[in-house]
Amino acid sequence: MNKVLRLTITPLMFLLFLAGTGYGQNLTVQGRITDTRTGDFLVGVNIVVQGTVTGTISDVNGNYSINVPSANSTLVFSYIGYTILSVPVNGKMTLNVSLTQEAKKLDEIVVIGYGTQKKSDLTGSITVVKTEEVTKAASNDVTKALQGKVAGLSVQSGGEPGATPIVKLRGISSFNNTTPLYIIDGVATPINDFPMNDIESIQVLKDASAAAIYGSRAANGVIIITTKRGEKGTMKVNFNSYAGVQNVAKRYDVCETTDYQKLVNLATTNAQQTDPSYSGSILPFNNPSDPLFSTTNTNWQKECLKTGFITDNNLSLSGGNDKSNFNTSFNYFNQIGTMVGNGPNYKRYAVTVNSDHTFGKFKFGETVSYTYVDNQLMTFVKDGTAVSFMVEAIPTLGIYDATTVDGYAASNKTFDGSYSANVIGMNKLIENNTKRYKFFGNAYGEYSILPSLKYKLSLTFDRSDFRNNQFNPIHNLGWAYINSTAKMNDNRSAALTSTIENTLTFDKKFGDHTFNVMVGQSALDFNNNYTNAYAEGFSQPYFKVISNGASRTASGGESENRLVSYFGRLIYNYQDKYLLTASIRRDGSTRFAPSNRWGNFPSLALGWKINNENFMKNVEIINLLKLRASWGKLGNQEIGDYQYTAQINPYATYILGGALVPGSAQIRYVDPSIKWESKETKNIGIDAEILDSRLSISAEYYTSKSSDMLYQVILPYSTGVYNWLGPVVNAATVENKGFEFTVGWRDHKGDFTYGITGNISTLNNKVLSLGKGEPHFGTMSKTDIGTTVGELYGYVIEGIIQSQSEIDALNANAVAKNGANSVYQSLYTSPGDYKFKDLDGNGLINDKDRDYLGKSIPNLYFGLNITVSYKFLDFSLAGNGVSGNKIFNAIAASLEYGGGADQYSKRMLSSWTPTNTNTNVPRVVMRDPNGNSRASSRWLENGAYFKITNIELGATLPSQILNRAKIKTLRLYVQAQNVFTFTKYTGFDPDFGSDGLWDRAIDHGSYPNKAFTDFSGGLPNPRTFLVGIQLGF
Amino acid sequence: MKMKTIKIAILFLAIVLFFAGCKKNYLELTNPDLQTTGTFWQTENQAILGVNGVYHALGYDGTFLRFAPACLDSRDDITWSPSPWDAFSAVAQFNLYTTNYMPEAMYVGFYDIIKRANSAIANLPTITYTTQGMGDRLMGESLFLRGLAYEYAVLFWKNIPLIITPPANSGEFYNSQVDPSEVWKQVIADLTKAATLLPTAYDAANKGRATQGAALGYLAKAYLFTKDYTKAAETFKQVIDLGIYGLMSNYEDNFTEAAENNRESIFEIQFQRMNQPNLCWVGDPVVDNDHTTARAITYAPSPFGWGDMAIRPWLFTEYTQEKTIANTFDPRLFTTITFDYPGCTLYGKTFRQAWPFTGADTLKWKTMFYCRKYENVNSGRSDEFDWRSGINERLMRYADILLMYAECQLELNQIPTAAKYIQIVRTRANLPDREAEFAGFTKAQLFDELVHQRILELSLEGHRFDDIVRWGWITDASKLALLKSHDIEWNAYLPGKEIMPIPQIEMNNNKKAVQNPSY
Repeated sequence: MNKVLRLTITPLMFLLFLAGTGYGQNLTVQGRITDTRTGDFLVGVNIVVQGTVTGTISDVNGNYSINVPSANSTLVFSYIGYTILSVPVNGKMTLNVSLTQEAKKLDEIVVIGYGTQKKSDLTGSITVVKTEEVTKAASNDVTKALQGKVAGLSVQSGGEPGATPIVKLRGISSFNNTTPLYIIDGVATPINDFPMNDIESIQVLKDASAAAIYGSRAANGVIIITTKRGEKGTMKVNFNSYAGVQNVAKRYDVCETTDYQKLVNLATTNAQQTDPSYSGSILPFNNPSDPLFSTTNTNWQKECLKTGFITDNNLSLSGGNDKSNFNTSFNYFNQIGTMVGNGPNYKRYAVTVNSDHTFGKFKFGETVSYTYVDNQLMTFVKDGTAVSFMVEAIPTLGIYDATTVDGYAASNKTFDGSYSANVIGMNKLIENNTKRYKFFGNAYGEYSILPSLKYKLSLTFDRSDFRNNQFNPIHNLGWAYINSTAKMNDNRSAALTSTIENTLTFDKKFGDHTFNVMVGQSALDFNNNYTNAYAEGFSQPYFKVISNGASRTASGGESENRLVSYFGRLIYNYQDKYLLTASIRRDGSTRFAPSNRWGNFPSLALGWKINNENFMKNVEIINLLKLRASWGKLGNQEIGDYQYTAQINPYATYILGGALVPGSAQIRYVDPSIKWESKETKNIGIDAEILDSRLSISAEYYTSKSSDMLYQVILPYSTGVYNWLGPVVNAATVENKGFEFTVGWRDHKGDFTYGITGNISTLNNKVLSLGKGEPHFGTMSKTDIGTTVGELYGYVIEGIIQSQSEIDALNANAVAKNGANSVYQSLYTSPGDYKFKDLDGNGLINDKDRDYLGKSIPNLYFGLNITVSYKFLDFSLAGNGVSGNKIFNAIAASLEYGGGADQYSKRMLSSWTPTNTNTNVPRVVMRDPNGNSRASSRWLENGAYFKITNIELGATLPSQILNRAKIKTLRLYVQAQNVFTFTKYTGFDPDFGSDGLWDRAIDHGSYPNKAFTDFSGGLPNPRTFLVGIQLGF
Repeated sequence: MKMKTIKIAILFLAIVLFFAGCKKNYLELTNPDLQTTGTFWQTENQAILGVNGVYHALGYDGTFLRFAPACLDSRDDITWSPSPWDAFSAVAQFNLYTTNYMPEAMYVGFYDIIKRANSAIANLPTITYTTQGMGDRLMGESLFLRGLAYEYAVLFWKNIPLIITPPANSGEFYNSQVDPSEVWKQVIADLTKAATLLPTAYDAANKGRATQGAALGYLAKAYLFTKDYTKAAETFKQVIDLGIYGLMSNYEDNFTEAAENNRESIFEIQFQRMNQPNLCWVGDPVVDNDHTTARAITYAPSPFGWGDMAIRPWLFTEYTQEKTIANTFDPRLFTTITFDYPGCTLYGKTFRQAWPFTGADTLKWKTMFYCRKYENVNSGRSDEFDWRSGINERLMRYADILLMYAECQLELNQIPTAAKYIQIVRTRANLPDREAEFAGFTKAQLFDELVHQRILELSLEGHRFDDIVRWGWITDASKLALLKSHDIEWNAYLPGKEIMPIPQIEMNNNKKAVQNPSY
């Protein structure tokens, strides 16, 4: 390529040289042109003698040479994307200059729905995140990279390979799916497996005006992703790669064998005082006088956690000419988790091809990608994951045992009494693998009917095939985790989305009036079908396909939904001062009954570019000052299919006469009148760029109200309907309000360039109405009118009871107020137990004595990004945090339960005893008869944190060296992630994927027993150290 | 320009054609997997499916898959719960909170039966049947199942809502509790009606459906619990006089897979191993649900099951009080309890192989008494850890009918009749014929024998706790002392704790709900 470039440039230079010599002057100036920031030599810079046509361009080494008419001439250096520089010669023979890349923010083109707009002309709230920023997070999922980058965007996630972060924009405005709508190159599709390196830019559409064109599905905000496309010029080959190691830095402080045995035995003897069922039941493993007494001391966290590995590799080939461009990229990503055993691991292979072609008035192009993901999940049994089992495993149990069915030691009810599962055995023996095959194809054709009128047709087909394989060999991993027959699940599903879109765009300027009018129509069909095969009774050695099971069964099903939309938008600009955007969208969804099928979603936004007013003409320090305000309504229909019709379940079979007979039942009730949920948003904002755009400020305030929220109510159990099977109704209103403030400063002093951007946003979430007036109770939350969603709720601890007389007095009071046989808390309450607060003053502790204990939603979010470069070195730092929320540390709750034979936290060594009364840790006692572990503030911790997620140091090698190797660019970097976290939270990581809508603050453990429908936990965010290379030819 | 006009015309035509191509009914989609309620309850076949669907609700975690028997048994003085899971142990200890999982699963489970039965009872009369008998039978089955569910529910919670029609609108999801006497009235009405509609027996393919005998049995039991001894006695006698029931000569046949739906069986929950991946714990029925019970793994001692239940030693003593005619131990002992005796085997191991203690630990053998009834100890399986037991739950046995009949006769002071029926049960266990001796007993003396026989005959079958409550022992200081001496879990018993709490989830979501006193 260099040869091509050289061949092109040399004759050009020769010609220019000839032109120059025509003036017959002898004064020659020469020099070298470099990039201020990177120090790269700039090739092809235009150099013109001011006021003449004499000019030249720099060669491949950045060198130039030019004849000037006099020693007082001035040279003008211009280069695309860089600030024009004029330098007087002043008689010098050598003039080395460095050019600075323009901060071209004002003219930046932003992708909005069905079109583009200049950033300075935006009236809606849109934040743009650039490639350099997104490629910095080491994750399979690009949304992880958005953490802390966008005011108002919350991203929560653990460090599980293949994890999908929980992304929420501007609070909780839906009770179903709160995920924003992701649009890749104009098409809605999930982005979990999308290679980061293919991304050119990300635009986050936050307010109703920006998102309204996607009306029906935009209530949670819209994130538009533009992929890289080829550029005019020679073919570029880019190779980006990093590899690194990952470690879980934190450990729970758990007991070693001696302390563990001490605590279990104490809990047992304490229980014996009131509950003699335990007499003689000091467990053999913990009884020094028993032949089975265990002296094993296993540190499960040490044994289970290992160094993980991560690598991401991307090769892209791109190029183009005046008529066509192309970009082909290949991605290989591999992450091996930090847990010993089969998983979690995540591997991805992807290829993306796109091109655009123009033939006169006709333009067409396509994006086609194929992605293959192999995700080995961390295995789990019943209601816990490897992570919680690891922390809660007892030290008295070894890892291996040659005498057992599977070679792994197992807890035993008689000998150690513990629920411990052998995590290492579990994660090695049980296989749980998901493979995803995703084909994504979009093709478009565009025809310019008139220069100002374009018609576009876009067709998309998106197919994801899933295959989930689980193999569960015969094992005994603990007395509650025994599998006596080998089982296999082979589940497959295919999700198909087909979309057709027609748009007509009119774009024209009439004097001071610029119009952009777009109308369009789209239809979408989504179909998901699945087949699950199950077999059991495999003989050893195992051949793991369904046919080899002794008995086999299958199940399957299908669901489909459709959406038809019509939409239109007007963007009007008067004198580049006054801006107006108005849009309307009408959507019809199969998810509602015919009479409620259609929803209309209008929006209006106004903008005023104050800096373009005459009175501002002299205020030179202000480059942009824009006021904008918007109003709009968005829709939401993210509920399951067919929710408005009551169904008959045909699987209510029974056994009669020794054989299976069919049976049917109506299991759920429905509300046939459900309709679109709508969200009304108001947004007011100000954008300013000051001092040659070195300082940029953006501030906004929004308020949104979601009404008719589709809400799955919990029916009373006397209806015979389980809590997760309640009907979906339009029955809630939630308000979200917040300020968002982003400030950035970037400047350079010679070779030193730096930038700092900070953002901060507030969130005020409030429920205005809910259901039929019944509050919604979660595991330890209560959502009611006036509260935030999922507000923490439970008993209030008053202190530790120190004496029996205290209990007697409480019980006497209970009897006085409630009659004979009443007790304050529990008949088994003893000194050392908690006294809970009698909030209603009735002398008894019951469910009326619960109160709000804190918010599970942070009310403040902040992000910080710093970039610095000096010559060939660059450095960046990114951090983010939240505050105002509480986390329920459920793993600590398991370790401090104090009523079982599972592992204990070291903190429990300071538990109350008659000789250790000055403590806030209650006594240990088997089965916790006083309910010291009930839902209370006990394990609620301050969830505030600030985390430095990323520190990067890079070096771009000078081009002199590279040229010899025929390399265009080469950057090497090292990165450290998650190294510093400032928090009071004592769990693994305050940033974790919370588990749900109503119970969003629970950092999972496996005990006290949860409903076994929950999937819990996952690996925490690891510390990562990696090295990377960015190579361009 | 002309060309341009043509192009525009063609383009708009294309768009118009596209829209036209979008069929009017493009947005009409129906669930390809499931039928809607609008097309159900219209044919006789659907009526049969709908009634079968009510039976299905008997097999949930909260009903007879696990918790209903576990709740009844664990609270009595025979069994106790060494479970680390408070869903068992706290219930057994009368020290449970309103959030306890067991009553929660049971409450929704029993109301699920009621919900399905209500739907059937409301819709069955609108269908045309090929024979009058079919329509009657289906209605009889539905009424029986609703009556059964309410009979259990009122005994568990005492104060419950009485819902007998499907909700007409969302306002009817929220119901107040009624006085228990109203529930009992409904139980009696439903079962009385069911008894007139149901056949006495079925063909082989329909074995397991509710019979007239079952309806009469539960009706009689309802009279007994409401202390209407005259009617109870009459109704029990009707069951006996049907002449189709009798005691199996081998007591153990009542608890194995081999002799299900035998002549001693009044009503059984039908379980069967289908080798399907899911147990029907909760929620929506799915196609690959198995039809097994989790009772066996729950009650089986560790290391063969979860060991959530164990036996108090006094029960063993109770069995040893009287030898058989052949001077052997009561055969019911060996069916009911696993303990250390020569020849005790389970799951292919001897007792001492199962618990291979050495040294001082061997003393524990003498204190270990575990549940054996309904366990697959002789099935050839090595444990219960595949979770699946296909043994039918004998909800009501003829032996229980005989003893309850005897109890009524005792209450009516018909001592010789009581003696006769008690002896029938004794005779099957090969105990000496003491009918004549018993006929001379006082009411109190014979009552003691009745209590004794109920323990020997019916332990681990979910009757003992109801007996204790029915006999008023919970308000009798000396009897309470006896219970405490049998089972120290009773130390924590306080008046009112014999009733289960209304689950917190009902309290949270139904403003009309009132918590039971003592919680």
